[in-house]
Amino acid sequence: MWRVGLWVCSFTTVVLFAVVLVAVPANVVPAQPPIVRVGLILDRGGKNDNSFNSAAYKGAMKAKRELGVYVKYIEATDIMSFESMQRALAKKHFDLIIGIGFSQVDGMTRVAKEFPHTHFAIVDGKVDLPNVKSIMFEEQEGSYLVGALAARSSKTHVVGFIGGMDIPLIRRFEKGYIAGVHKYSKNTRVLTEYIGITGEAWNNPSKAKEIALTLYNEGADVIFVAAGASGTGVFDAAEESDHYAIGVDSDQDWMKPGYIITSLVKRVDTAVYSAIREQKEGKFRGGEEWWGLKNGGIDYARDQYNKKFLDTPTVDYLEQLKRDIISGKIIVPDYYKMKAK
Amino acid sequence: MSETRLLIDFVMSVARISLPLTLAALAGFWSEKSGTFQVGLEGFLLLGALCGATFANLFHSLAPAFAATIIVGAIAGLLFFVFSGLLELDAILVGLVFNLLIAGVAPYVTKLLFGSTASTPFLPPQLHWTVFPYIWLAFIFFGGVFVFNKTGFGVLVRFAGEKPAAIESAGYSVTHVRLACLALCGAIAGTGGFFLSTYLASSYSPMMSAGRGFIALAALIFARWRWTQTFFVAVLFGFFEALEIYLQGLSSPLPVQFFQALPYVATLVILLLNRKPAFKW
Amino acid sequence: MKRAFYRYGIAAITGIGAISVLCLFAHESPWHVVQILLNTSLGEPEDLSVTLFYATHLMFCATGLAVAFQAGLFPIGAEGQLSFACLTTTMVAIMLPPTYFSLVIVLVTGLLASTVLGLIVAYFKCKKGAHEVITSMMLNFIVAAFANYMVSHHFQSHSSQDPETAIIHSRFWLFPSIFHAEGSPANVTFFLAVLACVAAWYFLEKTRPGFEIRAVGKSKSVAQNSGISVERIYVLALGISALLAGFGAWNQILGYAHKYQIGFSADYGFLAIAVALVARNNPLAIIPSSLFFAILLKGATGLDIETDFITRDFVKIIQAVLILMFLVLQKQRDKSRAEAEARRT
Repeated sequence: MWRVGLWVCSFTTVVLFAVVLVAVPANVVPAQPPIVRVGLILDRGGKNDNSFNSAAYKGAMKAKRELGVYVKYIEATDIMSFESMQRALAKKHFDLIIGIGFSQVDGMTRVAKEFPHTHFAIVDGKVDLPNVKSIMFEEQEGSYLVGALAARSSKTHVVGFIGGMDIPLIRRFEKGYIAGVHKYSKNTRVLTEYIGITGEAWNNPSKAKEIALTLYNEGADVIFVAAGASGTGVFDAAEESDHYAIGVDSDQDWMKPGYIITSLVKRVDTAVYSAIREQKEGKFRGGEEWWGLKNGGIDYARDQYNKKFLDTPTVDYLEQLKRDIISGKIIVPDYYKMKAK
Repeated sequence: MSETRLLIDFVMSVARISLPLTLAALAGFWSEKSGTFQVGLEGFLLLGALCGATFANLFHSLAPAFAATIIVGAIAGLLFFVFSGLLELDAILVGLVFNLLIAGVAPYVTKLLFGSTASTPFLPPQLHWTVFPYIWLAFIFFGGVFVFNKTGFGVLVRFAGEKPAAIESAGYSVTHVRLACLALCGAIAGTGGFFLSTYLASSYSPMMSAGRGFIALAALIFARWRWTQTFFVAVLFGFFEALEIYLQGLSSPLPVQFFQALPYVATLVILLLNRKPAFKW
Repeated sequence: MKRAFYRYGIAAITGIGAISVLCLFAHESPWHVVQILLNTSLGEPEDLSVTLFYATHLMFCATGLAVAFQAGLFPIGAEGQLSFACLTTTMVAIMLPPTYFSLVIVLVTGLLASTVLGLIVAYFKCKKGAHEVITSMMLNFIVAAFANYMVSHHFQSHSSQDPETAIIHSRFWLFPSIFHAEGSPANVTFFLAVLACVAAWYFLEKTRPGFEIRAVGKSKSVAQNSGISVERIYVLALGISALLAGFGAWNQILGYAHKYQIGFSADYGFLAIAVALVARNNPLAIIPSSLFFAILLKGATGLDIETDFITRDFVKIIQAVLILMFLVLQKQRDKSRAEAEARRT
């Protein structure tokens, strides 16, 4: 049997070899003078998580198309790989290295110090160095808004929140959301569930769907989901049981039109694009950069897919809330600050 | 919220969650019983999920997609056999490598066919079975009871796992039996994955099997490799997960992780209840 | 002799051919791919450091697993044992004042914690007849939930938004880095890991308990008839296995990160299963096996960076094929040896 096995493998390999030789064209390396070279290091969710990694990727691709920069993106394999990736790109004299996700802070702190002439940017993290732009979002402000919208749209006065894992970032979404719900109606209950305890929680739409169905059965009729690629499961549940959901990070309204009230949009794509443009125009600035309701970095989605949910009085109400938050009249609880006490 | 309504919803929840687990566990039964330790259930599930969503999109219909998934699953089982049976490599390693291989290949398939290395396009709600999955599960379950207990093939499988020499002397080939079992395993686990992406979700997304293959293996071992018990243990695991989801949703001061650990603690508790008189094998 | 050579050739060429197919598909020459793999994992000190760090984790876990595998058991709890050891070590380091006495406690806590987990698996196996695959798998999940709970509810760092604990006092940073680069992960525990492998080998091959473990692994009934208490051996094997995994905490917490981060593990405990099996459960062979897998791990990042086409997913395919190729060659060597034996007798 051993020989048979070997021959089977050899034969298959030869066939595949022939196929590949014939079918795959040679790699033509474009000999262009590199303009601005941007490295984009995505978090473990990968560039197609339909959530903030893909938003970052989209922003970078837009910059590549419109600004003519060279973009190299890589997806991290594990928590140790971030620093290696940052250093490798820096050594290759990339002009701007963008890291997505808080896990990259440790690595970037060291690498940016080692390469003071290279520019870095990090999304969702803070690195206190002159050559690093720390891009942070006020997610809790947006969560507040969608919370109020959820409460307002709910007919059962029970809404839900589904998070991926119990980590500070998601707690931040949750606390802001609950505050917004209670702003609209003190009597509305919020049911919260978390999908899992390992990284698989961000990639488990089936379980998310099951949790959503359970929450709908327990009375909720609007569920806000902050769980990366698992979110699609919640949208499925919404469609199946004729209830509603709210998406996160990217505008996800298009996925199941009619069932998704809105999405909490975190304009990572805009932030990434703008960082790249700054670099290209030679105007790169290090330091903290806050994106929130004030500058449109955080917003609730309004497009042709959710028109029916956002009638004029609702939009007016939300816009008023927005103005109050921006002006400071309403203070949205920020889990990060709560923890720091 | 009436009590019966609550109960019905809960039972449906258990049924849904148990579906891929039972199919994967029952699939693994054939492989293990015939002598191939099977840690590749995760890969088979993922492959089935990929096939399900992909073929459903290509054929715009579930039935041909289902048939195609079975075929692809069987072929994957054959591939597994080439390494574990023909080349006689360690089955555990083959399983682990197999999982890795499928995880790596899947994005390329979706990229080639749909232009995205992540999910397949969403399946419209019409493309959605509601009853068939359970009919299929019943078919596999009762079919297995029959085949394993009442047919010659079932006997061969048993011998292939425990006394391969006897088969050879009876004039049959152990290789053929193991080959058939692996193809069967791949096909059945493939259908489990099929339901994962077409019934329990509406698209394929990367790594969506999320460890279910290993839970299925645990169910198989827990049930000591007996067919009916495997089915019930897999349902039990599904029950615990449904319970965890239900309890977590009720507002409670207990931390989230308490509920999340519940299914696993419950399993240990059940194992504790087993009163083994002495150190027995 | 010629036939064996000829078959080695087929196996090798097939393996190389398979890799070549993949590489051609990726518009790269196979030689270039191998070059990148080796260069980005062993080339620069920072890269070598990460590779050795991975290898350290793999060595501790895999050696432990090898001991248990040699006893005929198949526990898959290394991941949970490692996490639990790291968590408890960090918790204790945070809670205790930095005295010499605390140093001892901190060192020992992780080891105790992981060993307890191993003993729990042993208890279930011996007293309840429960298969170790299940109990160790359940414990893995339970530990993950517990760690999540501890970090998010009690030990969350106030200066960071990551799900991680505060940094432990520098008095507890017991294991200096091997390389001078700041933040280089590889530390002195690498040598400890190598030592652990050698010690485990010595234990298994040259001591009586080790011999008994292997005897039980080869045949329970024969061992029992010779008067070996299988129960006792199981406890010993599972305990040692867990203890070795616990040393990973010295590497991770005391030697590198100095804090517990949720998700710190690149699945070391699970990879270690493959490491141990590829090394045929021989602790000495685990040393090169760990390096091999560490290179694959680290090189994956390098391949993504250095090539245009090879992405994180494609690397998985390359890794799978490389491992398969190695296994096939290993098998061919076995067959050749068996044939040589047969011809001599």
